[in-house]
Amino acid sequence: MPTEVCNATAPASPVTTPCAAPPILISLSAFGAAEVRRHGQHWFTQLSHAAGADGVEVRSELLQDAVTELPAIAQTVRAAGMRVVYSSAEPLWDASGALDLPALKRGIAAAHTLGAPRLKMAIGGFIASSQRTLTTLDDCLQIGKIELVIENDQTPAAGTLAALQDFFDTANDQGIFLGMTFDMGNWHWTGECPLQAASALAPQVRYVHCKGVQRQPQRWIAVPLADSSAPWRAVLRALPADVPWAIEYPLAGDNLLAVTRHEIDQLRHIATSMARRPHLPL
Amino acid sequence: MTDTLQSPAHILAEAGTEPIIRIEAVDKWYGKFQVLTGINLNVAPGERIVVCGPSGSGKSTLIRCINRLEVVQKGRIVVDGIDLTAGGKNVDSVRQEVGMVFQQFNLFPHLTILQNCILAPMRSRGLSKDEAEAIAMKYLKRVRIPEQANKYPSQLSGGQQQRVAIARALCMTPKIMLFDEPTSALDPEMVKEVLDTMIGLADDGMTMLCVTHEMGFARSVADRVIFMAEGKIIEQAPPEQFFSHPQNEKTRNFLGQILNQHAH
Repeated sequence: MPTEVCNATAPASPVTTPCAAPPILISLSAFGAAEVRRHGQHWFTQLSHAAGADGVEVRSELLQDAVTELPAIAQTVRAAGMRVVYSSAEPLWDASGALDLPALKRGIAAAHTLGAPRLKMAIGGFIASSQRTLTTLDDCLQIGKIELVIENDQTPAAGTLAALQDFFDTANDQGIFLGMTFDMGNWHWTGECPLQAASALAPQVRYVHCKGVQRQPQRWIAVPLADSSAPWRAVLRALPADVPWAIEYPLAGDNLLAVTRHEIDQLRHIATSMARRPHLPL
Repeated sequence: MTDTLQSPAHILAEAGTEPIIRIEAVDKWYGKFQVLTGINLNVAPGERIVVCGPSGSGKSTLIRCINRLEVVQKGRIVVDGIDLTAGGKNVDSVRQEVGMVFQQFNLFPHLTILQNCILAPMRSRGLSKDEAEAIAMKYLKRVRIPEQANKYPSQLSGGQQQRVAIARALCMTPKIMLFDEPTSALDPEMVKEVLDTMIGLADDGMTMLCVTHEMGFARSVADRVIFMAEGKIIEQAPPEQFFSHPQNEKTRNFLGQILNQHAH
């Protein structure tokens, strides 16, 4: 569904006082899977720091040797005072709706090694019968002292508005608050309206993946916000203003440091200009 | 098999220009497995050929035979008038005229970009360091990364390393360039920078054989597209004909799969 014709409106937020701009992180997948596997995530963490990023999101699927890479990244982010999020590519619930406890524990353990207070995962095959496992999930998070941020991915099971609303409603009904990683671009892959999603899910959002999109023949591609065909300003306005933003669109170029610095500056500029302007109903 | 040859290079060939590459009745085996069967192929000077086909079809093996990285057991390969199958010093002569770019770049990691580029011209062509460096800088400018000359490969992106690999091959001023899936190890964002470099070479008249699944490149650059399967040339035609009216069912199936795959 082309989002340009989406009928949804952002929530009618009250006029707010200007607030601090959000921290800008870089999801290390932004540098390209082949590139990250070639250089390693530690190398790109250092590059991100040099480019002025406030933090990085480390990706499980791009780790070549977690045993050596995670401690090295941990040391660098600690020394640099950077924020860090750990992203696990393993879904929380399997196709039958069972909580994948080993996957959750692997994610928590990796986040601990990394010194990351936040763990990002997708719900996978969460269904109605899965709700009884939410307490187990919450117990693990409490014991592990980890904040879980559920991401809308690009799958029908874990990336549609209905699936995410059902999930958060179920968790909230049980008194379990779980934050959300709101990926601005992924809604296009599942045919959803990002504005409608922002409107519905804003209270859960604790972390934003900034991703512009363009439609190519038969597929969507991720692009910088400035090149996006989606209403990204309206989406950002609809989300909490003070949660971290992460770049999750391709960063490439002969002078990668300069490209990365430019994109961070762009996001900071956007965030600053939005913070200066009151939130108005659309 | 479609064998309509209408490109300027083919017109030249028909007018009597000697092919720069002649492959005659080539068979090749890996042990008992026959990887190439009855390959016949003439390439005119300045011709741009794209070779495509499913994995294991023999396309990489075929182009590796052209600079004798692979030895054939039967048939004849003549490159720039030199019979490769005769072996001996012929191989060294041909390798000076045939540049090759690999999927994995194959740069020396312990040498700087400039050192990678001057090594072969100094050793094989006997150039002085100053001469070799001047040529290297010329080609690094050509691939738009002269500022990376003193860095090491590990400091460059995959796309940059592949452009260095192209510059390094050009430093030997080859008559023919062979590309073996030069973009398949790259992220999508880096494919264009490498293809643009190759398009520049093609525009300058370089004879090129390129194994690739980049069908957009084949469509816009190739004089002829060759489809291989099971070690044989199944079909070859100018791109407009190859893509619009593939004659063989295997070609149609392959194109259906690859174009669909690239669209998603």
